Amino acid sequence: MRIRRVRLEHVRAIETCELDFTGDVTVVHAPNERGKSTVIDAIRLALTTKATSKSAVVRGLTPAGADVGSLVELELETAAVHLTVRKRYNRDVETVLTVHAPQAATVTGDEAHDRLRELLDGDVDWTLFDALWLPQGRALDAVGLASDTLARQLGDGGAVDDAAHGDDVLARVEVAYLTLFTPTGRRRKDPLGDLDAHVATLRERRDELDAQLAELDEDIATLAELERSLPALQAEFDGPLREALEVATAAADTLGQLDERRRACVAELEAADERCKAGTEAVEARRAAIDELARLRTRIEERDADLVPAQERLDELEGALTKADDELRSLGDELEARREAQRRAEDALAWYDALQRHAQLDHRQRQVTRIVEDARQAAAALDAIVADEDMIAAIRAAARDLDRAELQRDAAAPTLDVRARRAVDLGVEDETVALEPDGAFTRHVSEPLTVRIGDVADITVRPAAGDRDAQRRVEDARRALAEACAQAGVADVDEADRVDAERRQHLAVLRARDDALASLLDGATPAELAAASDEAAAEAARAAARVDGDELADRDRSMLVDDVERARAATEAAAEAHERAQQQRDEHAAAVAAWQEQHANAQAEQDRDRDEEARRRRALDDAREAVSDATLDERRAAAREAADRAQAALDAVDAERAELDAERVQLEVTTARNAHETARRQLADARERRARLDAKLDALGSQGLGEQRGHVRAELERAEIDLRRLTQRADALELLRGALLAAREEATRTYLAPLRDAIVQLARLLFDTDDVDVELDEDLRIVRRTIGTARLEWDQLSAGAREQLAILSGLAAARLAGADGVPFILDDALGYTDPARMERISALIGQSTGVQVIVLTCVPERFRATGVVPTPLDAA
Amino acid sequence: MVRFLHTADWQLGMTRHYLRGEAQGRFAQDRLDVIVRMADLARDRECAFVVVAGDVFDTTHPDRRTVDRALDALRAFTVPVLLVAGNHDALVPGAVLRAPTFTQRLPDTVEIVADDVPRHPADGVEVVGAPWRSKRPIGDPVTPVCAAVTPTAARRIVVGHGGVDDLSGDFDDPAIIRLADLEAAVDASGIDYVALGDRHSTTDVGRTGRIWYAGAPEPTSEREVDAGNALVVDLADSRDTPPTVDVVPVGRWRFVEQLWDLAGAADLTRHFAALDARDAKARTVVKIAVTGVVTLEQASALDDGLDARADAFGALQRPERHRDLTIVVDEDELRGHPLPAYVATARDRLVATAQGTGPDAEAARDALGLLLRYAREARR
Repeated sequence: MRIRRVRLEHVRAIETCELDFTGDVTVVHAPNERGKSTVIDAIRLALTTKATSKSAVVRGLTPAGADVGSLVELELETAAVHLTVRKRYNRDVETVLTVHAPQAATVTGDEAHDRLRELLDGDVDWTLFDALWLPQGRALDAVGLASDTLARQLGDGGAVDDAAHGDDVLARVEVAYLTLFTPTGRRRKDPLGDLDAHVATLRERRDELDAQLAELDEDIATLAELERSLPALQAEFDGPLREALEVATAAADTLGQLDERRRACVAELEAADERCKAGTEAVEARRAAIDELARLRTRIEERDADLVPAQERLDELEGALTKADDELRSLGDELEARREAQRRAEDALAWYDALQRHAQLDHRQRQVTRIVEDARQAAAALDAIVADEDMIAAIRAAARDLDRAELQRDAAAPTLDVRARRAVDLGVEDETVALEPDGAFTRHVSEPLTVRIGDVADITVRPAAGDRDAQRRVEDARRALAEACAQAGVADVDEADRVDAERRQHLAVLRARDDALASLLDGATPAELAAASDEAAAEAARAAARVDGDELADRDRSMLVDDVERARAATEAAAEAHERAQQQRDEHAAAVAAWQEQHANAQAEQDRDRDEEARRRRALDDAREAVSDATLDERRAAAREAADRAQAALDAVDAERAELDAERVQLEVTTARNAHETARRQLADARERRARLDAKLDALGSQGLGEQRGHVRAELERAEIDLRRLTQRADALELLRGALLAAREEATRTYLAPLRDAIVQLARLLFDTDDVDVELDEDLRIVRRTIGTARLEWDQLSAGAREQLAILSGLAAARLAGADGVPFILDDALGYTDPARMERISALIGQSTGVQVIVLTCVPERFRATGVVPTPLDAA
Repeated sequence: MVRFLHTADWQLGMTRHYLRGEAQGRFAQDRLDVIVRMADLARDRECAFVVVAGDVFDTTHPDRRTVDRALDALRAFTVPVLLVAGNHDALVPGAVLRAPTFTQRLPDTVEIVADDVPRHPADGVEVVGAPWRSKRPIGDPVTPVCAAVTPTAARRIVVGHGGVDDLSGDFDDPAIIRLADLEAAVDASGIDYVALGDRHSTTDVGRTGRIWYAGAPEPTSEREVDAGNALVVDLADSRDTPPTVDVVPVGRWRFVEQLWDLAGAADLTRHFAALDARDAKARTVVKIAVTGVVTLEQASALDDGLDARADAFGALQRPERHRDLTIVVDEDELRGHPLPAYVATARDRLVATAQGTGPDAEAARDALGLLLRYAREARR
């Protein structure tokens, strides 16, 4: 559909206006609020709304304050028809439809409106018309372009109906699929998983029942076998086994009787042997008693012979011991005498040493007394001297300062040299200096000095200012010296030196005192020294009481030491001799004691042997009186004969037993008993097993296991069939759904491709890059744009990019719609686009051959690149 | 003349996996109800006694409820009933026919024949049992019993159980009854009638007219030729006159095996119509094998039709997959159902998979069937 012309009268703010849309592109410009949108609204109203309508939109057409009808006249052209429709709203209502082609006709009133709709509905895609009308601001939303026209142009003929049908099919598949699968594609627990679990449970139950019934069959077979074998077992137990046991038992009984007889023979033999043995033992005991008596007698006699020399030896040893005791006493006396002599020598030496020590200490004490007195005097002298070391040092420093000042003054001051040509008295200050001829008087002048030469002249020499300062420093030094001397109590430097020498001397005395005292006292105090001296005197007095001083008067210390040494040597020699004698005496005493003990022991043994001999003799006599030796021999012979008889009887029994073969009999009895016992146990065991099996089978018999198994098997088979069928259905549904979804996705991609390609082609020109792409959804709405690697969702795009893409998608849709299309109307769109892009978009709009584009703008310069001369709304 | 009722193979407590829901309960109850009908029959036809030739129970260890109901049903008999154990309820220790819970509660009219000692349920009649004492006998269980008896003036009936070599074709089974030997023993011992059990189809065995399988009173399988009967047997006073055997239908269940050879939709319609026309569906088990060539649409209709009718029948047995049925994926047929473009694309891919030999071929055929169904529903 193309709009050729529109004419408005009294529509909102527009009094009259007529626009011709002759080319593909029309740019209409007017300032804001001058009626640009009114033009488009009026076109839509004329196409869609009857003139008789009283709707608010219609009523809103009347200009404010006016009472006139609003006229909209529209000339249109579609592929099939060319017409003009004229509608006046609100007042003087009219509708006139004038068809120009293919066949001229004019209709009025509501019929005209209905005819208009009839003519247009077949050709105009109103959905696309709405989609391609971009009023201000709408371009910021993604515009869905899906419409019949586009669908046809996009190569999906009849796609809308078909798509709905296809989706219905898919929806049914989906519903069926979701009964068996979860939305994420896993097979549902209900029913597939549950059925599978049910089958597993039934299989498990069937296996259990099979096992139980197999066990039952086995038990039945076992029981049958038991019932078959029991009679045979019983017969064997009652027959051959019992008979064999009886035969073997009879043989064993015979053997038992023989054994009884044998045991009697053995007992008799053992009794006879016992008696024989007792007789022999009695004879041997008698002989032993006799022999023992003889041995005792011999030993007593031998010991008597030994005891005599032993006594003699003992006497000899006791004599030697007495002699050793005597010698030991003599040596003891000698040793005591030597010790006394040694003590005397040591006392003499101690007395001498005590005297010496007392003399030394007394001498040191006197020296100490003297030194202390000297020191006391030196300290008193020192206390009398005022000048201390610092004062002396100050005096010497002041003297040095005076010397230095005088030298400085003398070096700098003028000198008055007077040489007398004749004798003359010079008056110098208060003095008179008599000069001989050629005598000389020299004086450094540091103060004005007047020399009076008699009455001839007074010569005053005045020193320069520097000379006076030097003199003042000398005077100051001199005063300082005088003050220092006064403070030290000396007249001058010489006296100070002398006093200093005295002070040093006193100090030396004091220091010498300390050294001497330290040497003399050796760490002790003078009082301790005095106490030591007194102690030494007392010690000397005690030593003197132990010695005879007169005898020692001429003996010196070395002699006394020699005396002590000799006395000690003599004492040691006497002690060694005494110890040796003591050892010899102890050895003798030990020998005596040993012999005495040995002798006593021998004597005691001899006494015991004599007692034993007497006892044994009495016992032998008593025994012989009871039973004589001959009687004993007779008894032993009788016992021997009885034993021989018993042995003969035993041999006879053994001969009978040997004939019976006891081992064989015993073996036969054991074998028969074992076999019998084993059979008895087998019988009992078999009966017990049969009873157990009977009880078990009775118990199982009431459980109906066989029929249960039948039911379980039948139910299992049914469940397995159901599971297989359900699985087949699930497989089929999965396959069908997958195929449908895949085909649908491919179809959607194919359907969208032409529009997407057209948009991308325009976008390359707009964004000046080949690397641009867009993605559309099923409603032909742009959902994302990619430039290079930047892929942005629609909502992430800037307002400018969004309105530019909306324009591009509208242009692309309009181009694809071609002759079936509708005008692409831009009403003050592109408000966010920068000038450079604006220029490109304008150029693209200008190149839209075959597509009607109507641009309404308040800035016509922005659309200069369309190449279209803008039409002012006012001019119309 | 003496008249008695010969029956066998009651198989009480039998289960069938294809009987779903309450069908199994109906099947079990009908096996008890038929006992009562046979009691009525024995009374109505004035039978002197009843012999049951083995397999009273389907297992040696039936459920307690089955035992209780069996006892209840047995009380319907007013004449002596001699029960002889078969292979399914052999007299093994713990088995139901030895269990006090059964034997001590039996009605006075009923006796379990546990040995080959002759019984005399009626004057001039001697009944010798050949019961199974183990599940796996090592020899012919009937012939030796027949051979051991000596001719008497009384009418003599031997009641036993087991397969006969001529009918089963199994000559190696040690427990098989050698027909030639049996017939020889019957002649030699002057036996009037051998009442057999084991074969569920009523059968006159051999040449003598004296050896009969009664067949199961209620059928158990589609393989049975003539089941669902009881035999009313008349023995003449003289052995020279052969017995007269009246085969009386007593069962209510039917087992049917059908082969549907399909060549198009018309065949399908015809078979379903026949199925719908059957009476007593609730006690009818139909086992259907399908062969031929069908389209996906027809295969889908086949499954849908069988599903729709399954609950009406005792059971509609069919293979899980119709292995002998060739399902062709006819592209023209598929294109006859206009489909949206992408659905058509998916369909074409599934067709390619279904026509291949890959592991998904069967699933693809199933998927195409589902697609057709959903497309049809969506169109509606």
